[in-house]
Amino acid sequence: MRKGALEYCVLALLTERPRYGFELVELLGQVDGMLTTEGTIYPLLSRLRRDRLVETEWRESSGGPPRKYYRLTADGRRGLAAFRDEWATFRSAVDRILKQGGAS
Amino acid sequence: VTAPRATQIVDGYLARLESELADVPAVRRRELLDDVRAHIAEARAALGEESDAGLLNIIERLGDPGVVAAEARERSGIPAFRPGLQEIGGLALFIVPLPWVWLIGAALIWRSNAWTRRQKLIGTATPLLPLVLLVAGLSLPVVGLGHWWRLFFWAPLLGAAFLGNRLWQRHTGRRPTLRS
Repeated sequence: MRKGALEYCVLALLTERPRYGFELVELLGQVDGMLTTEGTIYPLLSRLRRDRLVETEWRESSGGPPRKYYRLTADGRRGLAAFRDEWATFRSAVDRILKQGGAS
Repeated sequence: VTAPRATQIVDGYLARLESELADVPAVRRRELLDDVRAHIAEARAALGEESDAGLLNIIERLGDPGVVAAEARERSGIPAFRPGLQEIGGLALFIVPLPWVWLIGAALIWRSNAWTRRQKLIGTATPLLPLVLLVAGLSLPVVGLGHWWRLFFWAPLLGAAFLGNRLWQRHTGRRPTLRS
């Protein structure tokens, strides 16, 4: 479940502006347990790009070599919006059941 | 951390990852290795002062190369790697001391996606080792002129042992551990 949600968390982090890989890893690392092995983010990003949910572009960085930035596509935005709805429904359904289970 | 030591840690990790990605299409493998290399460079730049521990921590957090490669395989829809008849048969034929049987073994090994190109090159070039030694004149003091041809028997065993070891490591997920 965490794995399925992770790709939408990545998409959500890209809604404001494009970001590069290491930046995404750092942001996800701030949430405990979200990203257990950092290296696995890159196959995920590659998959998102092939599914055209994100696109990449190279940008100069100050000092270091150019960075690969990931940007949300229109498809990515639509996918994220759909997930937000599904997630809200799913979460409240689970909450309801968990609460009932605790009360009985 | 000394520069050669750092290079050893980073290159060691990337080499193991490359080895684990042997059965992933080359374009994808190249992309992932580039991404991970860039990640390590960024993380190293973010370290204030570089130490062995700091560098090893970066590598540790990236995760086991086998786990990263498994993720790449899954995200690419490639089934999990299992050594099969082709790999075992290739190695078995390769150690039969007859040149034409070697060739069949070598062909099977080269057709397999269990090894990287470099590993295949190292492993299957070993039958040529005695020739190289002979040309270099090194085999004469070692075994004497009358016996140097016996190396033709032993050399492929070395190659097969190397390839078999790599195969075993991939299969069991056991790899040499990094120590500082």
